[in-house]
Amino acid sequence: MSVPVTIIGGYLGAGKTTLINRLLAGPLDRTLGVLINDFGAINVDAELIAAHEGETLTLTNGCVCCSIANDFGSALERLRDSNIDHVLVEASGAAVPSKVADIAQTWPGYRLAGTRVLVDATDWRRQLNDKYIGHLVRAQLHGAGLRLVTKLDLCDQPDRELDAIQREFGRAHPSASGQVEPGLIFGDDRGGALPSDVSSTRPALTSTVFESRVTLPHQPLLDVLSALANRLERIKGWVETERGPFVVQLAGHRVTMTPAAQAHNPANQLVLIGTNDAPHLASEPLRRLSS
Amino acid sequence: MTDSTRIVVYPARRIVTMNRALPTADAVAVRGDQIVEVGTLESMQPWLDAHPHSIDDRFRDAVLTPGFIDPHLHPAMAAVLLPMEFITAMEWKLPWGRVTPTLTADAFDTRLMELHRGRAAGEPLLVWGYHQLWHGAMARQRINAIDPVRPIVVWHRSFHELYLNDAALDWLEITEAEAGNRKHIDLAKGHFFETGLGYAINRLNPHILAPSRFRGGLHRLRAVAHAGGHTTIGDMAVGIFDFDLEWSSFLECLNDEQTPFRTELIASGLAALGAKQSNEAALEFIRALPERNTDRLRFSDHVKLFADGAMFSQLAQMQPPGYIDGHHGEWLSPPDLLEEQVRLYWNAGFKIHVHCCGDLAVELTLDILEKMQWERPRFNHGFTIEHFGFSTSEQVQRIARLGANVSANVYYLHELSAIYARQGIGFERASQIARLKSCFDAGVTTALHSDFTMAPAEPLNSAWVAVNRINAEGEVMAEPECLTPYEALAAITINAAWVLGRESDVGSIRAGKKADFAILEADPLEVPPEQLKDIRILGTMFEGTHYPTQPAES
Ligand SMILES: [Zn+2]
Repeated sequence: MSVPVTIIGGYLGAGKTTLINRLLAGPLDRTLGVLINDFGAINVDAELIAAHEGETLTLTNGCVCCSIANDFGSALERLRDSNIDHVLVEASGAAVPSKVADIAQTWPGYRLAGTRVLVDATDWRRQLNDKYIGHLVRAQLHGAGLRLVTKLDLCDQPDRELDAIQREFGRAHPSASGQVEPGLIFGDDRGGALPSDVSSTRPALTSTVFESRVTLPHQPLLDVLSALANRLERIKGWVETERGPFVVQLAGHRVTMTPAAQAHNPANQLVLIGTNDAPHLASEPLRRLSS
Repeated sequence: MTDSTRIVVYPARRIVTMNRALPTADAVAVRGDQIVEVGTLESMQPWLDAHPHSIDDRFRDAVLTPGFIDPHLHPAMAAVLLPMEFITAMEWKLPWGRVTPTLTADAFDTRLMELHRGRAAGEPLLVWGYHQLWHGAMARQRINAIDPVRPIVVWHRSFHELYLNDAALDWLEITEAEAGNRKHIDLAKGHFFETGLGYAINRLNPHILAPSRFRGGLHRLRAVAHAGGHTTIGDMAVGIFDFDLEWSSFLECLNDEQTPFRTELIASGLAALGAKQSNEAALEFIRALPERNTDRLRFSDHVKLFADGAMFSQLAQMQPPGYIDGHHGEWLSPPDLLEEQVRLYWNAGFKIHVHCCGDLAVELTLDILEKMQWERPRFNHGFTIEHFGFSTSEQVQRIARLGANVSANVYYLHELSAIYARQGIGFERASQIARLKSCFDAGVTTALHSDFTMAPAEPLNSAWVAVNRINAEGEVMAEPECLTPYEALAAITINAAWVLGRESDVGSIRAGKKADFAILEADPLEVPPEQLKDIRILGTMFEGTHYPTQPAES
């Protein structure tokens, strides 16, 4: 099966990195591969990182991020060997996302899910008139399957900006401080999965955080987590048992505990993600273990 | 060099010094790697009375000029291209053999068959230079007819597409299941283009970037640079493929006694940013590079940055009215990133080279430079506009006022101006590609480069274009922008030395400079200008050692 690819584009400062960070930190129903082609650092929150190897980061939730530094091809080839459900490409600020999308349509093993272009509500009018980036920003916005408008909260008349963008370029959606429903990102371009559709066809995901400062008993903890494996979509975070600190992941209904390099504060923090009240119910046995 | 080293005096038919106070001379006295005096046998007598010396007549009938300097080429790209076989519509003079023009489809197939037959069984055959205008439609079936068993790759002259035969598809493990029905891949024809090319190259990379092949390519580059009369070259983007592979291969191939030139290494600030993930870390990395320097390989306080897309693919960024068909060029760095990088390296005291092909890229780069001069004025800062394809005359004045240099690929004018007049931007602007006389008149330090493999690494050929401005169809373009032969010679010697920051020790023939010469059959300042490119290069002297050119087999 080919892996769907969503392109996240937009000029520098539009908020691509923030959006991707929020997405990675929130509840996810799939394992992401994130390819970052915006020159420079992978800016993923340190809290999310489980391992760092060369230009590749593995996150506590199983997602993988790598900086592609212009070699898209090798990054896509590498990802084919890992367990990824969906690829996000953070396009360079200089790129026209529809051109980046060609790569997803060309590279074997992948297919294009859609293109999302972020636009800064406070600055887009100036950008469009800038003699150096005007054409670029215009081409980015025209080429998007869906436009995500950021920084609306900093506008005097947010509705007016959103409206003007929709009228000039087409379908646009607010994305307050990078917060956006995952369905809005992962759906396809042609009207397919809009946010409302997504929430109606799929039970709502909720999450609960379990925190504790005491050292947990290793084997009983593993038993509890294994029992939760079928009732939750995801667990991510870390724990400390008598055997030391561990990174915990539940993905695909399998629990893994990987020894961590160092202890965290608090010693135990697990984000439990599931449908309806499952996360809340699941936190009960964990609380009992730590009392 | 100790004083006891014997002085060798080389009389020559003429020595063209590029030193204004003594434009020509009869003899040059060399001790070790250094020139001790230029003049006549009589005028240098006090040196000869005081030190052991000999007179060497080997250049008696030749003309010496300063060794040529190409301040912008790409050894790594050459190392990938030069191991391939060439079947081209244009003639290529390569030191290991002349490539004669192949002008028809039949001739292409005949030549491909010859190359196939001359090669050990099973060894892949990579051919570059195919163009449909001359060589007809290409497809994997046509290559299979040459041989279905040997992997054969036919690469388009533009580099932007290639064709594979069945054996090459097998060799690269490209299957119908995987690559059938993908955008930009026509598997039925074995054709890979645009983004499909990236996929094919990804599969070819283990082969074309294999260290042994890469080093073989560098040895060929060495022969090409020598044949062109170079004694100094500039690698204007170290890290373009793989910094460590490039550096280790340079150490192995361009650092020994058989290398008759030095290489100035200018790191790519964009590649370093990709590798180090922040501009600050990239700066630290680049700043430490000179610790690696050897006699022939030198990093210094230079950095390469990039503004817009390539001239050959019409992705140069143009000011209004832009391209005739209304398309726009592209930025290689978002303008705000370019400004951030320029500021960082400017404040760190670097000499900054910015790749600018279109006049909008020149405008952006000058705006940024002007901002830097406002924030933190610098003099003799060596900021250089690289390539300088399209420009306006007002921009030339700004370049002069802001104290920047120009390093131009004048070959664009020759190869592209006729076609771009019709299918790009129109005659007026196409004819004014490489506005070089204006630069000289404005007092801008102006050099010529090849950007090899984009143009032949033959400085006399670049000088010929700059002096005659003759395009591929034989038409003279914007005659008022023609350089004099003297200016063109300066552009491949002393001005190029300025661009690389080596003006105090190379680029002209005077006491104290390195004994670097191009040894020519005729005087470039005397031959009819249209014959500049045909002057035979007999060899070079690099730091006092004579490297004769091997006569090319034909
Ligand atoms: Zn170049």
